[in-house]
Formats: sequence, C-alpha cells, structure tokens
Amino acid sequence: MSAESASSLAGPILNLGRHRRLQRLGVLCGFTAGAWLGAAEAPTKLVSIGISPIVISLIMVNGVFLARWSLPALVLGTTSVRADVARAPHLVLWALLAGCLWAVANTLTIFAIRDVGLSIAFPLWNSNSLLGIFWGFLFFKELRDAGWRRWFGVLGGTLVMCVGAAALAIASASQSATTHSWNGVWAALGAGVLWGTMYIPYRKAYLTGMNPLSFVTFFTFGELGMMSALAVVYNGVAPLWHELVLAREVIFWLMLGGFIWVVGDLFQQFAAKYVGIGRGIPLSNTNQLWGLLWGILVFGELHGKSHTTYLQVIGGSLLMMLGVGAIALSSATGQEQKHWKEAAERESARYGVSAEYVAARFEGRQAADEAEPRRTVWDWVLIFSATAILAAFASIARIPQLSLHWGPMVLLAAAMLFLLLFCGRELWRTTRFH
Amino acid sequence: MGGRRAATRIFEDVWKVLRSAIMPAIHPLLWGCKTRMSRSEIRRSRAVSILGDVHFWVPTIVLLGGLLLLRFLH
Repeated sequence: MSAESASSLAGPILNLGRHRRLQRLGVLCGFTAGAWLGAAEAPTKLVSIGISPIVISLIMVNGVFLARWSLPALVLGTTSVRADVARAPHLVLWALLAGCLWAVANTLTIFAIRDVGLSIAFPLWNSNSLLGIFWGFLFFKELRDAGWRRWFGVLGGTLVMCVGAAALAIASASQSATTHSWNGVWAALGAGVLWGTMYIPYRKAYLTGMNPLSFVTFFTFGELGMMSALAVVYNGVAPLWHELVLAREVIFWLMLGGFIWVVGDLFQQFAAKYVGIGRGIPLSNTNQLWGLLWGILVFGELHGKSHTTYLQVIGGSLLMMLGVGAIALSSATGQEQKHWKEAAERESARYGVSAEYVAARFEGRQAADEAEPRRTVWDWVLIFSATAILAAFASIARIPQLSLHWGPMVLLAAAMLFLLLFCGRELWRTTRFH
Repeated sequence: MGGRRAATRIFEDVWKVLRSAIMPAIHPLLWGCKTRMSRSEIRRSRAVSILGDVHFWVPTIVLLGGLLLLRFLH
C-alpha cells in the first residue's frame, strides 16, 4: 500500500542472544498464564445460587471488560493503544472477530458440559492446541525447517498434554451424572475449533507488531458484544435483568474471576507473541492443572474419593508436566525465525505497515520513531472508574459460607503473585511490555 | 464584509482545532497512516486487502459455523 512498507524486513536474523531471551520469556509467560487462568475459576466456585451459566459467563465478561481497559491504561497508558491502532487499524477488525469467536466458544462449552460432562467435553475442546499448531504452520510459517526433534517436542508434547488433560478431567468429573448425547460432543468439538481458530487473529496481530495490551482492548468489545447478544437471545431482556438482580450479591466474585482471567490472558498473549501459537497455547493450557490444584487443596474437592481417582490425578498431572517440558525445550531455531520474519513481511507489505515498526516489535522493542508511552488523565479516570465499579459491587457482595483451606490458598496465591512479579519484571526488562 | 470575514476565520480556526485535536482521537483509522494516497483510496485499498485475505475468511467462516451450531443445539 504505502511506499514505506515496500522495504522489506530483510536483514540479519535476530541475534542469537536476544532470540533466546525472547523465547525464554515467551515460555515463562505461558507458565504464568496457566497459573492465573487456572486461578480465575476459584472465585466462581464461591457462587452457588441458581443462576444460569450464560448469565454467569456474561457477568464474568463484564469484569473482563473492566480489566481489559484498566490494566493496559495502568501498564502503558492508552496513548500507546491509540498509536498502535493508528499504525495498523485493520487489526481492530481481527480483534473484534477474535472476541466474537471466544464468546461463541465459551457458550458452546456450557452446552457441552451440560450434555456430556466435563470428562468428555474438556479433552474434546482441548484439541484447540492441535488446531493452533496447524494454523500456525499453515498461515504463519511456524515450525518450518524446525527439524524433527522440535516437531516431536511440540506435537508429541501437545498430544501427551491432551492425554494428561483427559485423565484430569475424568478424575475431576468422576461423580457428575450427565446424559451423554452427540449434541454435547458437537458442542465441545465446536468450542475447540473456535478457540483454535481464535489464535489466527492473535498471531496476525503480533507478527504485524501490535502490542498485546492494545489488541485486547478491542478484542473485549467483540467478546462483550457477542456475549450480551447471546445472553439476550437465550434468556430474553426481562428474564436476563431479573437474573442479574437476583445475582447482585455474587456479581463481585464473578467479576473478580474475570479480572484474574484477564491477567492470565495478557501473559498468554505475550506467550503467543514470543513463542508462537503452536507452543504458546499448549503452555497456557496448563491452567487445568492449576484449576485442579485450587479445587483439591483449597476447596477440598475429591475428598474421600477412591485411590483410582487420585492415581488419575497424579498420572494426568505428571503427563501434563512432561508435555509442557517437551514444548518448553523445543524453542524456535534461527531457521524457523527466518520463516516467522517472512510471515511478518507479508503483513507489512499487504497492509502498508512500516517495516521498521514491524521489525522493531518483532524483536520486542519500540520503533525509533515511536513516542514513549505515557499515561494521561484519561488513563487515571479509567483506572479509578474500574476500581470504583469493583468496589461498589464488593460493598454489596455476600461473603459465602464455605469451608476453605486457608494454608494452601495463601501458598497458591503467593505462587501466583511471585509468577506475576517475576514474569512482569522480565517482560519490562526485556521488552518494556512491547 | 468585515463581519463575514471574521466569521469565516473563526469557522476555519474551529475546524483546524477539530481536525488536529479531536478527530484523530475519535477516528485514528484515518489519520494514522503516513502515505500520499487520499483517505478514500487508503480505505478502499485496505478493504480490498482485508477481503482478499485468507486470514480474514477462515475465522469468519468458523464464527458463522459456531453460531449455526449454537442455533442447532438450542
């Protein structure tokens, strides 16, 4: 489109030290994402009143919306979001599309769990990581010239993780009675396909150079818009409002779950940026392991279950860790990086995005002509508004009567905070959150 | 005549402020691209690029399929 973009990203492949550092950072982001995404389920366990799953999902998405605007405003400021959109405005469309895909997939999982139970549904929709590898290979030149060892590490690791995830799902759903139907199977498979495809927009945005913090602010409009539309279609306006009023005492817990989920998702986005979707998705799928840790250690799930169930949990967890290890050790080589650069060149040439900008963001740094991100008064308004809304719902929240195991909860929360601070510091030191 | 000229100048000043300060903030899609093409040409070219991009059609078709599946299941 523009003359500026005609120049290529050609040049030496990213220097080896920097390349390795970014790969390590991406793997660390994937682990941190798993921890926070898994913990996002914890506040939802506090909700036991009879509200429909779609309404629970809608309330969580509202918390997600608040976080998706306030966290980027806090980290870099919305001037950075505006600057990113000005350079690659076409990506707003992909962000909205990805948000819609997420909302439809999430609703399908509700149908899947209802019809076939978590033990069958989870492994089916977990196939999203395999689809992610396929799209990454087909569209973004991931794993090209990677050598059989890396192929084996990524594909084998993902398959092993899927088996481990299936064992965990069977163990965690060992008491739920569900009517098995093909509808549930289709819903779970559909969710997997939608989530796997959702990573096409992610990878496209990050190869073009958009900051993950900018992408998610538009992603959330698709997410909230589609989720609201689905809630209205399935419940109707008046019944939906009635359910929301009924749920007012637990809205805070659900929104908190959404907020925690966004922290995890942000790290997942950085993982997709620095190690690609083929490796990033399986790594952040470790959220199931963390979710189970919260369930067993804090909420006392599986208490009094048979030895077989415990063996399934231990075996499934070990398999997942084995798979994660295999993927983490299969980082992209210089040759594969060259292909990633070719994919980035395609985006730069097709949409007239400055080659210098794309190359700089590819290396996790700012372009020379970019202004330093700064916070304005509007950012503080956003941050305080989001905090005020959460505080308002917190003030009317009912504290649930649940027996929690406080010791493990403090330990898990400390581990999450450690990962947040450590990974956040590494992201800042290595890329300044770019 | 003087009054008319003054009114025109005020109008021009207001328009300049609007164009330089407010419009880029609410419509960065148009002001962000450093190019010599006209804005309508950029938009047309961008639309052609998007519509010819397989990265657009694959997620769109999958989304439509997902919505149809939801409708069927409901």
